[in-house]
Amino acid sequence: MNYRIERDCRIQFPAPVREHHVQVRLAPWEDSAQALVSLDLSVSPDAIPVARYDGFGNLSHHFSVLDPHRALEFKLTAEVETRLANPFDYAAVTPARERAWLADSLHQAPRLWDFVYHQGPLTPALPAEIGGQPLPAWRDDIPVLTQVQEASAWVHAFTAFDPAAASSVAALTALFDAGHGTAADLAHLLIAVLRGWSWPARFVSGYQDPAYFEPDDEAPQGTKPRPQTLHQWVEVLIPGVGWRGFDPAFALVADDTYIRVAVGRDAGDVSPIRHTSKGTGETPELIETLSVTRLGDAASVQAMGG
Amino acid sequence: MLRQFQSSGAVQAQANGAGPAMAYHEFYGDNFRPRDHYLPMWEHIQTTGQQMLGTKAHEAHLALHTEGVTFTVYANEDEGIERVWPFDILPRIITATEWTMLEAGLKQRIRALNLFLKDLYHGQRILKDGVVPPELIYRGKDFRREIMDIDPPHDIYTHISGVDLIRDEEGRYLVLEDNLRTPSGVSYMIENRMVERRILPEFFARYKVRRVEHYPALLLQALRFLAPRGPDNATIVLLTPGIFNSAYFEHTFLAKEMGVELAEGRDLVCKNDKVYLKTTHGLRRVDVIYRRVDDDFLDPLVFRSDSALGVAGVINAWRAGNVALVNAPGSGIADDKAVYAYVPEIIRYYLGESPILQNVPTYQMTDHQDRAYVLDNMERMVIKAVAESGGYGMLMGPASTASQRTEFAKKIADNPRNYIAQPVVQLSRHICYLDGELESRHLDLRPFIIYGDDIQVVPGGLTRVALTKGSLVVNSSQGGGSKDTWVLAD
Repeated sequence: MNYRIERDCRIQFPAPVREHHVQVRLAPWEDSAQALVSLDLSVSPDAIPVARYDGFGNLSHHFSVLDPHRALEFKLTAEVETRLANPFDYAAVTPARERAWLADSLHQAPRLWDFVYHQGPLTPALPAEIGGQPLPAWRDDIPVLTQVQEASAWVHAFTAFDPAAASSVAALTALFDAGHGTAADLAHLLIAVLRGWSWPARFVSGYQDPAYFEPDDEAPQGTKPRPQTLHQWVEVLIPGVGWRGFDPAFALVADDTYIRVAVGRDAGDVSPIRHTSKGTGETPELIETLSVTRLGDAASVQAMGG
Repeated sequence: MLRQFQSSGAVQAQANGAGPAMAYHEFYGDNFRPRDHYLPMWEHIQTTGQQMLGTKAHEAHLALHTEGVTFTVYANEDEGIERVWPFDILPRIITATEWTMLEAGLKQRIRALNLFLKDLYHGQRILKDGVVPPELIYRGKDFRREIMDIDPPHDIYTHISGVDLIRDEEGRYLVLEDNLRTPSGVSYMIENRMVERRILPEFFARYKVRRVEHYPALLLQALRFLAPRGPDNATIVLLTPGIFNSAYFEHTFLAKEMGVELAEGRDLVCKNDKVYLKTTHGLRRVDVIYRRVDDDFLDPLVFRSDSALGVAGVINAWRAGNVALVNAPGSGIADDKAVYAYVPEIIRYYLGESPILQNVPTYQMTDHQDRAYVLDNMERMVIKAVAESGGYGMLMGPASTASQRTEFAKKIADNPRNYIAQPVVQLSRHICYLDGELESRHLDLRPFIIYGDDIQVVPGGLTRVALTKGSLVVNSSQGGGSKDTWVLAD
């Protein structure tokens, strides 16, 4: 599937600031499941963005505007091809061999330990049960894929995805009380469950096919689509194939309608925009728009190109 | 598993539960006779009379006061934060033979720790080979993923290290901890020597003492060596968090002695992955930053976003190879107290050599057996938070109360990775001139190691003294004092 992504961002200050440094993680990943066809990032006032990859493999850009200014704008335009039409198209490892496969993977790539060991306020160690309800526990002889899908469904049932929520509930305990949360909250809960099994799970942020923002069948006629936003989900190391995405907000497995941007231990590692400036210290206003457009499947685009 | 050196002796006996042994005495040998290398000094004191020491001690205090040699304590809000540096005039003397061994041991250790850091932030061979458990690294507070795959100039991470050494009951030097982030104390080493030379020239006349005063020159040479555009005309700055930092005296001292700019974060600015110093003549490109700002505060774009002490963009400039950062961010994982226990193995792994200097035996709280043993024997243990320094976050078992022990047991249960325990080692003792009397007090030694073109150990170091009788805590923030440290030329 091919998508065009247009992301505009304006940082507006109440009074002029200077020495403004910005780091963004908005460009799509590039790997065997996802190709970056084109990418452009423009900044105003004029600045030269520098690209680099961080320790998790995320592509980020940074730039700075030193002279006084009240507003800074940047626009990212990318075209991306997603190739994971069928996420289950691989030779599975038998359940009895899965732990050995994992041990071997961790041995070959110790950096994976980050996604096993990391605990923090967003992904804390969880008790065996919450409010009298047991959390999904590891079971021998059941394929990891099945167990992860069940855990994702459990999160989905336990806490409703609230697309209208402006900010994360953050603390998982508060999430249980609230009964609903953002996509990031649900992702953190699933990650915390999986890490409790000592299984590698990582946080993903990215874009989704515009269809996800359309009103569902039960919505009144004439309901407008939700404004497009960044989405968050979870990737789990699946024996025999590698990272696969699971989205507890929609109880789905991520396929080629999901466009990955950044991965990390939790939301803290993937912040789309980090910036710092000198001025009066007042909080700026952040105005963002996102437009993801499906361009049709790869074949038709190629045909058009040819 | 208890990690300790392969040797029998008092420390091990203690670890096995025997009672405390007698501390080694640096000054007195058998029968309370001064050791040979202290005899010339002792004879001089005998000849001139002990009251001479009182006059000299007074002069030393005045000199330190006049020169503003101070340190800062954070503890008591009612009093001023600055104190005159507490100094004992009787020097600690290390023979040339002893020093040769220490120097070789320290160089070996620093060489191995740098290879370790390079490996951790790149291929992680040591984790793949199972020599160091990945858990220690990935649960370590000071492992910085943000600097993964960055190549610091010349692959050096710890340009300046201070390694704390103690002597056990048999007089063997043991490494107590490695300080690889921004070790402080070197200015006091130099000030101690300057004061000592001025007030006790007659002592120096009897010995061939190796110099330490050239430390700033050695450091400057090492900093120049790192400059990405070459050593000539390199702009070097010392980045300080400012006047409220406990080592601010040292920052100003070193900047002055080296003739480099003392800068705060707001004096520097990054542009196109280069760092500039704001001067009255405009921006001046900076080549080397000797930063005395902790990793967390170094770059608000990468680490703590609320930091006003750092320089936004400096990590990107470092990654691009346009500036050298001294010490490299991320070095702290190698002086984590839980990783410390593995340093002997780290030396064997990277260098294929036996460690010359041994560790103090260390219990890992992540190990169930170790933990059970420590919890049963807390009165005889020193328990330390792995990422703390300066004597903070520590339980001295023998001096602890039952409620403090309960509190620490809970902390360990909550976060075992965050604590290690060591049997109490009776630090060696030395005579001190205190309130008109010669008294013995416990002490340690922090030599300073500079890694530039080559690894150099400054012949001397900071000897810290626990001024409270019987105390084993030497940190100046906790009531410690200091002595001049003499390394003999032959």
